[in-house]
Amino acid sequence: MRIERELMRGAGPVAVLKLLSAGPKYGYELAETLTARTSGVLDMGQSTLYPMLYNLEAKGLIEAFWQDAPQADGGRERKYYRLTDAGNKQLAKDVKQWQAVADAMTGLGILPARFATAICPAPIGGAL
Amino acid sequence: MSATTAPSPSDGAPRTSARSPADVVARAGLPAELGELVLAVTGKLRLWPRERIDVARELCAHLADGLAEGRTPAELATDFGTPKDTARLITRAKKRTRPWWYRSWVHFGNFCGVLLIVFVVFYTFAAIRYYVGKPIIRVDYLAQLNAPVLAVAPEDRAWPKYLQAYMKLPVVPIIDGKELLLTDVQPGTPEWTAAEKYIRDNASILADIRSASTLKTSGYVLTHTHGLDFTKRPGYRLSTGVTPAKTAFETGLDGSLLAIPLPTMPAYREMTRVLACDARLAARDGDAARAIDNIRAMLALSRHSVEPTTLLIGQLVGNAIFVRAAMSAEQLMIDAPSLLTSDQIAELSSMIARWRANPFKGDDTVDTTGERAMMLDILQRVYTDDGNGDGRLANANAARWLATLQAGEPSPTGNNIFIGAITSQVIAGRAATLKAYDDELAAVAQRSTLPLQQREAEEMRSDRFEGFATRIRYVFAATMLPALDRASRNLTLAAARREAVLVGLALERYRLARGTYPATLRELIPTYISSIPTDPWDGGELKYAAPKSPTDRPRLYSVGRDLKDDGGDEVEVRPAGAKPATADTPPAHPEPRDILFWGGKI
Repeated sequence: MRIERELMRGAGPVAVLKLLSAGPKYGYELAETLTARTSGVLDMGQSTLYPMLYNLEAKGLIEAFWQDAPQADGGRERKYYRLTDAGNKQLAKDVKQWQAVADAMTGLGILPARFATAICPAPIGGAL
Repeated sequence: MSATTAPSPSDGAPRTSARSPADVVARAGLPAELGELVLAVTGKLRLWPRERIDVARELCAHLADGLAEGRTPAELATDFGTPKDTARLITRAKKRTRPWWYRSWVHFGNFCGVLLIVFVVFYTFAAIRYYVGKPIIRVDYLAQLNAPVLAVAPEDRAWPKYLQAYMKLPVVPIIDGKELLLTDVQPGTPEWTAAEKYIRDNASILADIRSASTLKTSGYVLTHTHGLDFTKRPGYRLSTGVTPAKTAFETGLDGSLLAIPLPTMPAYREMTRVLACDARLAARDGDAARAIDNIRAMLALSRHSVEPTTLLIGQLVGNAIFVRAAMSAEQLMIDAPSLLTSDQIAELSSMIARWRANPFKGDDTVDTTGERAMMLDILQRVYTDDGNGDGRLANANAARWLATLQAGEPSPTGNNIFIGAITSQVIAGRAATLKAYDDELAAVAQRSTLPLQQREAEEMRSDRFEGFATRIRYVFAATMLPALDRASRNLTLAAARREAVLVGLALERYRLARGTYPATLRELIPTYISSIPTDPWDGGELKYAAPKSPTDRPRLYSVGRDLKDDGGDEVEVRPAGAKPATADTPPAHPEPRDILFWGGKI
């Protein structure tokens, strides 16, 4: 399922930051990982992915470097991205915010209870 | 996707020798359709060359990775997005990664762009206000100034008769390559011989001038195009110093009072010089009546020069003519000390005593009636009129007039439309400008009551239009205000000279009666003078130095700016390296130590 552009704008960057928190990745790798691990929900083409990466780079949340790929991968040059300290902090902040949104949606009954944190407030309008 | 470990980021980015995206695509070895796709995107990127190459490398790497994973070119092309949108998004994002100086420059450029837009909007508004408004000329100030003149019967007007005589009067001859200066000739010199011949050859013309001077008023009617042509005088040459008066159109001041020429001024000055020279000749001829009549005529010319306009220039010329008349009276006493009887000296004294720098008010103040009329005339020609005495600057000619006024000569190219609209928003409105002008006139009038030394200090302290911003805001008032303070000082000194000359003539009467000059001025009271005049500089009594020898002359003098009594010593002091004047230091221009009114070098 493709999601709307506005949702992608919010979800895409934090998803990329999260993937990079596990280590540097190159563009194609990021795109394939996003597709695979989100069941295609965060599937993005080059026209979405690379501008997003450049924006994150401009904000200092990630940084890029060229490196020859391992010989097993053909030794081609690749541009890798890695998380910066600022990116780490932003990721932590974004995760909290997303959790807060998930809690709110859970409280509204939009999301199942399993998405709530341990300190989820009582559902709005629900039984006391 | 590759299962190999991620590379170490510490190895640094491999450089490329590719010189263009096409280079990159060629080296990448992609299928043709994918290569064209990359070129289609990079071709639309509005980025620096280095950035376009970088994007090309990255896109090629992405597509190569896709092919290596077993995806088809068609699948990869589908995921690519449209080249146009891709290029637009990549361009926008990539520019955000540029260094700080570039971003600062862009921000600065944007800021300048905003400023430019604001300026254009402002200028459009200002230009509309400036050019849409139209001044209304409601008052004919020329008619107002001419009204008193026209009320005088033609037969009582002196100017037509002066003019008749003046047009017949030849210009002075050239002697030894220099124009003969009739007021500077000394007996026994070739110049004196030439002057004597000139005077005697034109005796009848001088008689006509003296006759005209007995008439009640000047009677010159101000006009923009008087039609006079002084070049038709006998012997006229350009070096005469009497240049044909400019017409309104030459001055570029289009019908305003400012553009009115005053052909009477140079004529009066020249007639004065001729009369002064004839007064000396009359003394030598033993003709006391003619000598006195010449001085009387000069005093009349002084009054006539003020009358037509009440403009400051008229007062200043009248002042200069009076000084010449006063000097002629003293010269008469020097050249022919026994020529005049005591009664004749008393008659001369009486004529001089009646002279006033401001004949309208009967005092020695600066008359600003004409100057103010000029100011009001200018205001009604460059400002709109809201019916309540206010208005805004709204005349395309205003900039040109200002340029002409400030340059002192026509500036037809000074009409800068661009600047006119901008400055019209900065320059004060009509009411505020007139108020600033009137406030300064009042301040000058108040200062003119002070002794000269205090007056100068007060002038320095109270520059109403000090500062660039103030000067621009009140540019019309500042430009139209003549040097009133300086004129006021001149008139004060002329009045002091008048009083001193009266004392000087009293000294001569005393000498005639007693055979010697008095030791002090008090001896003249009450027979010859009622009181000792005031020194205009220190406010004390006028100073007197009795003659030290039989050939010496008595001296009447003021202590001058330094307030020190130097015994009438007139040696000029020129301060070396003088700094600009301040409220606490005197002006940096040369001044005599004492000012001799009587007994100095004529």
